[in-house]
Amino acid sequence: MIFPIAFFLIPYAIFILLFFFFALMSLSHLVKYSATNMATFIATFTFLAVATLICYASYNMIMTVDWSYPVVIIANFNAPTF
Amino acid sequence: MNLLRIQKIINKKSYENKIYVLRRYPLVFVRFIFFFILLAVLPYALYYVFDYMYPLLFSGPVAKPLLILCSSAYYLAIWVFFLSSFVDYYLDIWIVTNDRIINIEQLGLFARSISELDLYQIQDVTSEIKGIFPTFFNYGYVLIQTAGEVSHFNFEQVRDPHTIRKTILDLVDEDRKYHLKNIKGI
Repeated sequence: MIFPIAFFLIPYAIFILLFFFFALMSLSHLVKYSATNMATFIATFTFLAVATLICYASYNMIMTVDWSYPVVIIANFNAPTF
Repeated sequence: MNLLRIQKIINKKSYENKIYVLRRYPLVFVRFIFFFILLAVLPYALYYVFDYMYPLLFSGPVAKPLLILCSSAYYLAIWVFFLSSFVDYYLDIWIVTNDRIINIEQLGLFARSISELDLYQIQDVTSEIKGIFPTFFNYGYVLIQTAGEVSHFNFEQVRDPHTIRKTILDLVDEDRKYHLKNIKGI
């Protein structure tokens, strides 16, 4: 069985969506219940800064990969059987 | 939390004064920070160990992209876990006024409870400091037994619990006198 390595990007994309969902939930809780004080500002700013850094580093590394490379799981899957 | 938000939550009465706005002691969150640092450093250590033992393991055309995706997902996951831990820590608030106690608890990301208790309903207040760090840094629990619908209120890991207990008992006395005076007045 052969498929391109880009297949692994699908679960990764689903994970990224989940990340944004939980991040937005947490940030909205902070803003909604904690008002606009200094601690909320620092927490929000730090979170966004570090999350941006992680995403930027991931993007740079992902761009260096050849995503068309084939992955072979079972080498003889298409071989004739006798 | 600023005063404006507190007034929105508790609908302040005309004779009511805010005595305490309590949160967990900040040192409690420091252990989360150490745990987070450990979680962040651990994959690096494992990577170097495995890379030293099996130099070709992470350099393959499939292994390298998988490693990039997994490490990216891992770091985003622990970072959002860290933020939700902060939200859970920061949004637990206990407000003590001269008339009542308000308990606001953030239970994870998808639950939040707000309950309140009139001071004259309080039956017993216990303060407790347990453990090495709580003893050194003077933080602990204040346990309040009540005659109301909610049988007990707990202030968790708050600074100076013994002083808070004393203050609450004084406030309870004053509130009972105030209520008795009103009943006699009728």
